[in-house]
Amino acid sequence: MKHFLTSLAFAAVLALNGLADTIDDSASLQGAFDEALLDIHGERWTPALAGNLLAAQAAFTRSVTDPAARRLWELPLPAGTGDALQTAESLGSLQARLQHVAGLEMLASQRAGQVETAREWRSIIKLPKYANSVEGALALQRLGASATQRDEVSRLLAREYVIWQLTRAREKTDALMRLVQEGRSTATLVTARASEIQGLSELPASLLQMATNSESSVPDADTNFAALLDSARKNSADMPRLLAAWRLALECGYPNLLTPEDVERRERIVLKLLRLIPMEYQSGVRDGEVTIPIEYREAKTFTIQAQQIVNELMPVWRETKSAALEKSGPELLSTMEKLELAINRKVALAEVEALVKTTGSLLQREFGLTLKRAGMSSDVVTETVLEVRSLLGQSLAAAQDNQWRKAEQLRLDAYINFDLEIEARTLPRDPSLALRAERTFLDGGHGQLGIKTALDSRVTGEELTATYRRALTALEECAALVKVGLSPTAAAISTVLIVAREGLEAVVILAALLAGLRGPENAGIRHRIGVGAWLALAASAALFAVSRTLLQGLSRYGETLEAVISVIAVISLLMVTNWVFHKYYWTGWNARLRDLSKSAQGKRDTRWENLALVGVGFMTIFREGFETTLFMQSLILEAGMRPVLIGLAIGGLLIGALGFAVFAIGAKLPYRKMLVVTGVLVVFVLFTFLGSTVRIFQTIGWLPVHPIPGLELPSWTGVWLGIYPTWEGLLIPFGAFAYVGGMWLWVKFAANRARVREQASAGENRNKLTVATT
Amino acid sequence: MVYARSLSILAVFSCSLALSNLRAADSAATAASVKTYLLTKLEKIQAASEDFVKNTEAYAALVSENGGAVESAWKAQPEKVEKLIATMQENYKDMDSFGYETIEGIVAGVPSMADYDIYLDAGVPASEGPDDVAPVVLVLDDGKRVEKQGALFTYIIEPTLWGGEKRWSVTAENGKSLPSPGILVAAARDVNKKIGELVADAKAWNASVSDCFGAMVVMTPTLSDYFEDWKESRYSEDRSGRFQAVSRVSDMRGIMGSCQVMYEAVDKSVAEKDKALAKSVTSGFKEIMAFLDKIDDREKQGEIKGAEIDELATQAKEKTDKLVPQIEQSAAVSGVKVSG
Repeated sequence: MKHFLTSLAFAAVLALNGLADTIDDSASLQGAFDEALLDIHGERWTPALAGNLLAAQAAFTRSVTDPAARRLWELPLPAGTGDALQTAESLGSLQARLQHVAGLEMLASQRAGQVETAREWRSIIKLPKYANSVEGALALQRLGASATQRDEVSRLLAREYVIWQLTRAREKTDALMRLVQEGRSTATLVTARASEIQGLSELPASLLQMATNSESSVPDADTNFAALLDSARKNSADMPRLLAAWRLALECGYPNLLTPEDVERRERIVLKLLRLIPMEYQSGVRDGEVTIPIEYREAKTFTIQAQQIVNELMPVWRETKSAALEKSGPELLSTMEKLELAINRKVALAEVEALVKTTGSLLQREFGLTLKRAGMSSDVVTETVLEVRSLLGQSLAAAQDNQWRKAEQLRLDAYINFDLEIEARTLPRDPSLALRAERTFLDGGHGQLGIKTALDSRVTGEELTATYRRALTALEECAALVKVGLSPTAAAISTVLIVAREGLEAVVILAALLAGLRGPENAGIRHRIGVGAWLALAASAALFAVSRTLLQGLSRYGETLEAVISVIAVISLLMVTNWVFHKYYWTGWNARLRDLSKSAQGKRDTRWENLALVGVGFMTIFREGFETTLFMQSLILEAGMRPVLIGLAIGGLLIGALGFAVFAIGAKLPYRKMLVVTGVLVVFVLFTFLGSTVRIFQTIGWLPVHPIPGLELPSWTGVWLGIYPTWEGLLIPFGAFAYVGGMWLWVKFAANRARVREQASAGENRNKLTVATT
Repeated sequence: MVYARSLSILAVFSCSLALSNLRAADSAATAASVKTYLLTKLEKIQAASEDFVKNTEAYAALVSENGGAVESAWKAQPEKVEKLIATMQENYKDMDSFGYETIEGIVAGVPSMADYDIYLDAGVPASEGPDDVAPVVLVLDDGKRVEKQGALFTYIIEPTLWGGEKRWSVTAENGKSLPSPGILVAAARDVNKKIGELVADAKAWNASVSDCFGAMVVMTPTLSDYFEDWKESRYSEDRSGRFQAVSRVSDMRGIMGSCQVMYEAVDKSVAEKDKALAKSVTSGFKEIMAFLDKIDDREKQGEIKGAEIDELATQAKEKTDKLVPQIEQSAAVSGVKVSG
């Protein structure tokens, strides 16, 4: 019965041809295709269907006038077994061809100045749901008849067409993959859909050239396509793998329609999306059940968006990262598919996290994607604030223009930027502000709407504007806090303090060493130690330069690297503190240097002696230079090079002046007293460094964040004392402070006790001696 | 040079848009037919809702006469109870299935009335929020409160009348599901009140061509989701208490019908600017309506194979997907700024 109806439909196409216009003809033809597909998928195929298909193809030829379009339309249908699968393949192919024919006819008519005909063909073309098609319609309306603008209008129409069909091909591929994954595919479905996708992907060369202004090739996926159809016919278990391979081949062959800026932005966004997926999933799913539908939906949406972006980037990577694409492309695509499937199945969070991690690692390791913007931390904050402000402004404008969908998209983009660059830095410093600010982008709080809630509720007027104003105010507060923490002045002062402290240390050690080497007989020794000290300064500067270059190269690790450096700095500081308060280091180091210089004196005439003396000067200074260089790195990452260099210059001048006073004028430095002052400074720096390190650990997720309810601290406590209102941010630095203080008291107590024992023992001995004498 | 030309094209577009926006103000009268359609439908819906209030109160009184127990009323006067339930179900169909659904495209698509859609039809319970939660709070005669349990039609009245919601139904001895009168009376009064407010707002609505285009752009894409729902429901054995009054296809037809009404109102002005586009959109609507009939026929014929269901949903998606950008184009060539 159905078959009969289908035949009737084909007959109607044949009969009406010539009477109706192009729109009616193509609608009838499409209707016949639809019916035929339903018959095939409904297992009602008969050999007559194939014959009718050929007749329909021949009948529609009369509507096709452009030579290129006609050649394409008249290409023979796939030959083969003459069964339902072959008809399915032919139908898929013809559906795609009809689109390309319409595209070619549209352009040919437009170029011939036949605007109405061009519009007719354009209205036949199938469009993806949210396709941007307005520009082409207006171009034809306003400029279609203009001979001078003809080329530009052609380019615009061709470009639109290419984007539409590639989008459709991608959407259809996604749907087909889901169908296969969910076990709902049949051989006819796979054959018809894959044929259509393959056909859509083989864009006509002339059209492609017009759209891209270059010679673009069509995808070379024939082998993969044939293998896929074969697996569909045999119902092979290998189909998912073949499907992925075919898709990769198609994606790699699509033309690149992205600018370098588009590419950079998309590469960043895909990593951001990946980072958000487990967060949303964790909130949205528990024990295999959806707990918060919106969060679960977002996890799904982000996954699909990430896949779509990766697909869009494939043609670019084919040119720029071909080796990585060849090596890791299939693994990347299959991991992302597994991720989507895992989310659909609501698996355990750990599984989703593992798949996200694998995908992220592949993208970063093999394809060199980086989440962080290049540049200093403060630059990143400034850039992000500007970007978020701009996106929110656009979102508000769109909402005020009743373009709610666009407004929501822009809000989401703004939120992702805020979340990754501003909120992550704000959270350890002031969790309540970070959370309050986040909520202004989302659901609001304290009876006030957040932007998302406002957009979802279609709020208008002052109420809508107020939600954006609140988010912007919160953003500024966060940025101010994060920036205060990174202020150039604070960075410069910290640098001065570090240089002064380390320099003082070096000067003190050097002065103590040279104290016993006065007089003209020791001039040679002093000279050699001096050479060593100058060499150490040069080596420290070289290390500084190399470390800087190294760090720039490693910028993708951003705050992770900062955390590692901070840990090393804290360990160094602990060593220094140890030295200051226990004096073991002081005694040992000084004694070693004295031994060295004495041994150097003893072998005055040998080459090794000279080298040993140079080495003494070098080691004394380089140790401090190395430490200074390490301390500088975290400051540079936080605040940039300029304030650090200013601090270095000021500190260098101070120490230079002191050194001159000590060595040139011969003043005697009260270094033991100075050591106590230095020690206090060291403890202070240790305290702030620990606080800051805890904060960095929290930012990168190495430490949890437990806000202290009700505790509000001014932002300067974070900057100057490294104190932030979280349990971790308070307990760890104060714990270290207590440790150092406790150790100092213990040493003092032990020393006093030893002295008392010594005195008691001396008194006892004296008594024994007195007794013996008497 | 190429970019300079592109800029000039964009500049021409911008000027053209600005000029044509001014002209669009003159075409407000074009949308009057949509408002007339809306008010005519609403009049019937309001009448049905008034009947519904009376019938629910009669049902509650009958139960009350029998000691307040639904089972006792059923035992004492089964025919009367059954007749009342059937009448209330008919009231519901007049209010929603053949009433509200035929104007949903307009109400949900026009920003000034969109909240009514959440309240009456599309809003979800708070447990499925936070998006689109229906702010429905019902106070029953016994003082009990039913708060944010979803939209009145979809989540409360329909499942109660058809026994799809156990909280608000009583199962009689013979297994027949009987609605609890308390929730029905409260819901009936509330729906009647809300429809009254909607009628007032619809009368005050200054219908514009821009509103119509905006509503079409908002509502037409939802058809894809409806088809997806339909597809999933055909795959799944699990049927919820919702969508039992009539088939989901009927809802789709209602929404698409109201979009079609809106397009018919602007069709002439679009055709003046772009004949092919206007024809294509009109054909698109007709094709979708015919397609819905086809789905309905196939559903009535019996079992549809899985692959066929998927193909039907795919074809439906293609047809509705194409309509959305074409409506946007129609608005652009007519010089109307589209909301949505």
